[in-house]
Amino acid sequence: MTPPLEWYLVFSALLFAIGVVGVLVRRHVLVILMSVELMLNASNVALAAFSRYLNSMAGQVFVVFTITVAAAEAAVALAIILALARHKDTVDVREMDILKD
Amino acid sequence: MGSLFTGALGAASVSLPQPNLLAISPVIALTVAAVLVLGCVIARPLIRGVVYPVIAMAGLVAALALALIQLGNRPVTTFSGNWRTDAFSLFFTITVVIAGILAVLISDSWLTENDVPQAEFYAVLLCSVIGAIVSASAYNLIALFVGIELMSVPTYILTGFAKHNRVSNEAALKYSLLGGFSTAILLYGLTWTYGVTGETGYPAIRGFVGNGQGGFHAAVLLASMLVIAGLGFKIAAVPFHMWTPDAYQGAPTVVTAFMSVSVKAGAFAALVRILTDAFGGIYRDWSPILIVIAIVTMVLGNVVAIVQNDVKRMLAYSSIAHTGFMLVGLATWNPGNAVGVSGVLFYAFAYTFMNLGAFGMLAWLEAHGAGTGIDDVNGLFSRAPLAALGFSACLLGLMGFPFTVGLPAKVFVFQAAAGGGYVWLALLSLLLSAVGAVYYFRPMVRMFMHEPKVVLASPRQTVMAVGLGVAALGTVLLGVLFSPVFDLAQRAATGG
Repeated sequence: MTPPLEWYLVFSALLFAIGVVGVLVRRHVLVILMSVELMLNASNVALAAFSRYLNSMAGQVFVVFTITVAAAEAAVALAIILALARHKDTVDVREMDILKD
Repeated sequence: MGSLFTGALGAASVSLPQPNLLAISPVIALTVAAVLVLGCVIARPLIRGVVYPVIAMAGLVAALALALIQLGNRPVTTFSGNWRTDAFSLFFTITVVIAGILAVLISDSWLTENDVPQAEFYAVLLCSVIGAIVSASAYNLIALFVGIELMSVPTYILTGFAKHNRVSNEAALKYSLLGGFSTAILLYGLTWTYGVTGETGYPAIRGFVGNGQGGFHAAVLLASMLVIAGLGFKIAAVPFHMWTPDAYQGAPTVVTAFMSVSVKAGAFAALVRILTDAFGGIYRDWSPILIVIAIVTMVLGNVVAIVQNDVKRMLAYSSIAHTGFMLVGLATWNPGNAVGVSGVLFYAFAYTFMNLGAFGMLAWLEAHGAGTGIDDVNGLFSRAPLAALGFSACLLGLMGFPFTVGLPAKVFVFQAAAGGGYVWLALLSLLLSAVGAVYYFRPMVRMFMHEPKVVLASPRQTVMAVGLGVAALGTVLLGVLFSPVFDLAQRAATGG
């Protein structure tokens, strides 16, 4: 028996919400980055589910692009974190405070 | 070409779509240039550094020429409906390519003097320009997503390009984390758009959404709000602007100059196209929301800019304010009133010259050993009269002063708002742009009337001076000769 579409969408919405809360609440840069990835993957789950239930391939094509883009983005973000960590031995966003009003 | 493959595969007839290569030729030219620049790294010991900017510039000029020759053509939709080249996309292509050309001109001296890897810089810059073109030409949700990311991710790298500078690192981190956050929100919106409509092409989505009378209205609305939020980050609209002052201040000034105009143009193009084409039928739902966003963006940008003591950060807030002005043109759009969109297009074009020029002048000051503080411009006129005049031209343009391109840009947008029945909004925008005079005049007064505080070194910056001269002259000349550009913007907005 295939679970109904709603289950996937609720699961995806939960993942997305966890990601949003993670970005807004957590202070460790790597955890923030993982939360962003969680948000992107929430979309992947929904896209794959939509694709299956709409019987349309476009959703799965979209997922492939999303995964690729997410990988590129993570690579860039990690490189930036590395460059910053070389200057200041911290991964806490509260200590990144040179730029502010 | 299709028939070749039919034979090989027997009964299963596979017809490969024949893409229109002329339509994507500007992107091809830029891609070739980007790959060539990187390829030259292999031969680094044999090649002098000057080759990189030359290749990048050649690619940009070729792309500009290829976009210009297509201007008179009929709209082309190709790549199975993923890509649309029409006056609208060509207008934005020309805008971002000009931004790229000016950026290459002004960044040359910064790169050589600070020993920054040049090939990587130009390759990444070209990728961002390509992304902006793809964003403007996308006619499908997937192409839109890829375009927006291809435009944004390179700018995260460019922001952190001064990798031994902690400020640059910090700005890049904030920009990339918040940029990734906004991308995820945009993607979730696109996902729901696809899920509800079952389509990814704009015309098909528009057909499904209709006038919002059918079912799923709430879901379509949610999807369009998520898209507005996601793209709102990229154009730096309040309340999604938090990254802007930090990223703009921390990035190398030449990079700020480039990304403040090209990313904004690309994201605006994407926003205009998806809202008017895909979600055009439910404009009564998104238009009030955009009006609220436009008002808070104009108010916050203009008011906070007044209290800044760093010219670079002041210009960052001013760029938020300009997002608000441009949003006024889009927010008052309806199927019968496309003037606002032509105002947005013209504004994006004008903004390229004045804002790139203003940030470029700060880069020029830095190249001469000054900082970007408000004191650093003191007495610039007595030391370097031409630089002071060029800087003033750009600042007057941003203010919307007569005889600069800033005035027609603002007039077209506000006129459209008034014509769409929002006279109060036009008046409010006018009032807020008058507030801008307060902070744009401040550095000008210091340039002309104060005693010099910083002693300027005098290196030769010929290439940079050419770029800044083009930007300043463009700001002034387009203020008088704006009609050809505006005619083109009008054609682009009405789907010519």
